[in-house]
Amino acid sequence: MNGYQGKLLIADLTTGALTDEPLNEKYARDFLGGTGLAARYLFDLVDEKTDPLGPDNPLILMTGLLNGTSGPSVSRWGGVTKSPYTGHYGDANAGAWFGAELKNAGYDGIILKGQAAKPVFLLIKDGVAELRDAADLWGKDTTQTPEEIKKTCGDKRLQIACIGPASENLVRFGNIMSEHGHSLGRAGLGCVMGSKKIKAIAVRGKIKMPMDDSEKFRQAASKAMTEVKEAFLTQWMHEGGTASWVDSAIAYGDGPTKYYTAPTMPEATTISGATMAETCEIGHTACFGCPIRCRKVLQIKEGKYQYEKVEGPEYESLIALGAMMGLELDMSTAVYLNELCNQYGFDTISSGASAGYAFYLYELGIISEKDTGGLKLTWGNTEAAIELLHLIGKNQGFGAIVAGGTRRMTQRYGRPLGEAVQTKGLEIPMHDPRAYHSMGLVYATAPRGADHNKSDGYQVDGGAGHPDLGLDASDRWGDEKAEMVFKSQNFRALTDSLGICHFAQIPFNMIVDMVNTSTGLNMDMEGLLKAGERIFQLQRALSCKLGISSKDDVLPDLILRPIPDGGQEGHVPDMEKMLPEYYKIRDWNNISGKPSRKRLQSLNMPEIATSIGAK
Amino acid sequence: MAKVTVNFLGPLRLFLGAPAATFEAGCVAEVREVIEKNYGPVFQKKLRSMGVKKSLSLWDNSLFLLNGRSLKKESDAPLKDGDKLDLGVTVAGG
Ligand code: SF4
Repeated sequence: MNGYQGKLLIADLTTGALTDEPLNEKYARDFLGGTGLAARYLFDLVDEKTDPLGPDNPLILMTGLLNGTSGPSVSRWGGVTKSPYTGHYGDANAGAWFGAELKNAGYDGIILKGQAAKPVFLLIKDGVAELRDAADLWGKDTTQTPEEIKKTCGDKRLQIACIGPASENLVRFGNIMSEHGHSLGRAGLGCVMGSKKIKAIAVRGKIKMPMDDSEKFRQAASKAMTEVKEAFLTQWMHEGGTASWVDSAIAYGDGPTKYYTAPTMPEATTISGATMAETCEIGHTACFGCPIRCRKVLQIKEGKYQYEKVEGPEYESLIALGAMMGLELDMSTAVYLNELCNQYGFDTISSGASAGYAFYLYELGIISEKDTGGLKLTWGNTEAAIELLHLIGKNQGFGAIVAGGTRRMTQRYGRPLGEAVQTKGLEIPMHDPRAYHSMGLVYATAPRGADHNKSDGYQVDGGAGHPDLGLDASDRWGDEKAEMVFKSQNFRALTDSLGICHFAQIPFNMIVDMVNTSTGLNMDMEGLLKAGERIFQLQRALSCKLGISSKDDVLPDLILRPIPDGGQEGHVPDMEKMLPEYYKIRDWNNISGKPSRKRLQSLNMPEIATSIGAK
Repeated sequence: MAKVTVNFLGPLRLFLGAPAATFEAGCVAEVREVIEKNYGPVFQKKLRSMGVKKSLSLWDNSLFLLNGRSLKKESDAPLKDGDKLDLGVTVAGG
């Protein structure tokens, strides 16, 4: 099938067998690529009994459909597994160059199965795969690991995805780090790699992908490239990066502070993207084929932690590792905290939020230094936060408790579940639903648990609307959000599978042209949005297969408490209004939460309808 | 007439070349006019320097917040002394 390399690599780490499997063409046509296609494969391979850290749990890495092509900002690739952190469907998405290079190496994706007896890494070059010994790499951080692999293999241009010590130590929210600070950050995909004793995957190649009409694709991609280069969003992402949202978050009350109990702290402006640009930015990096180049490279000459050249932290990490614990950070310390998480290799959102919960419990007097191993977790205690992050990375002492996440912490300390600010076990990211009500619905219904990238809620409510989807800008505190969330979730399920970055404003008709000229499919906008819905409903069906039901589609109590001061002005989303409307649009059963059989059938998934659909 | 300080949030601080500016104005529409006059050329120059050929309007891509509340694009809400006015980009990110 054009637009694909047409094969997956199946790596059985127990036996060491590496086999090529032809790509399932029906799956590829219906689910396109990335997390959508990967989830379709996963559906057949896991059930409620699968132990996430056992040999039967596969980890599936899949390239986005357009990865490796000349389209603009089409670098995103994805991974799925049964999450060891949440216990059900887990997915994550990353940029950088790994996806493009995996395609060039001759594969659309990799399915990792089994468990190796000792550490290995997987090397794939020009269609040839081999497992190599990684005993010397075990224990190395996420900068040392790719450096060593490149040296050993004598190839500086390998693209590498690896785990750090945290995932080796089976930290449940361990991530997979790709280069330039990009990660498959959430749901503990790295921990699954750790359980399989696979330290890294290194890829490189020059295998041309068959395209349906190369010349027409080139023209479509070139038009899309011009559009992206000229968009205002491109200019602001390049100048400010995601980190420049910090200042807006302060004004909107969007950045959770002191574990979601206080207005966004204005002191955070000292670490914003604008401050970076004004004081310490020395350049930018880009993902494959991206003209936006939103990633900041910093030089830190002042403060306790100095760097000649270091990746700038993103918005999510700046808030999660700062305001969440009430820390007033200077740039040097903010960069250090981010680096600490990246080098150990764990999720900055879940770690920051779980650490924030530990601070909250300490301030309430529920836990003391006896519980924390001597750490004084008072709001703003940066040294204690640093020590705690080290302990999380090592999965030791009090760090091992926090590494279990907020939900497990409520059980351990006999606290109400509503204090754990998560949905379906995954901590809520740094866009507070009290600042943008639609985000409440997005978090409550995202298949993997709270996920800020599974819609355009805050974009529409933030005044930009979404013209291609027929969505006008709306009031950020209104509760007429069900239709908008439905449409934009479908759109993002689609773009994630195609490999398109959220920050690339490609007009929809040009996306259609790129898909059709690469694959030969004869799709229109409606058809592609239907594919987006199919992907979303499949991922939902998979969550339900793994134990999720309507009772899990809730926001925790703590985040429904109003904060009268600051940018939220005491607003809270009305979930009782939004959820039933949303359920109706999605055609989900009110009790089981499963999509109806009829709906799954209408989306061309008869086998999923029979296996899981609600009657 | 009220004396108000407008904060230019996040990337706008970089596009307009200042973190904030203070104006005397009776309503938000007047503030918009003064910003256009004083900062419009700075905004356009910055975009040109970044290689943008299209004509992009500051007002298609930004939004006022009056005391934390988002205003409609064409708002002419009246202002009083001490009001908090922010100008931010319309598209959230991160
Ligand atoms: S905008 Fe940033 S994250 Fe997106 S593809 Fe470009 S460099 Fe990567």
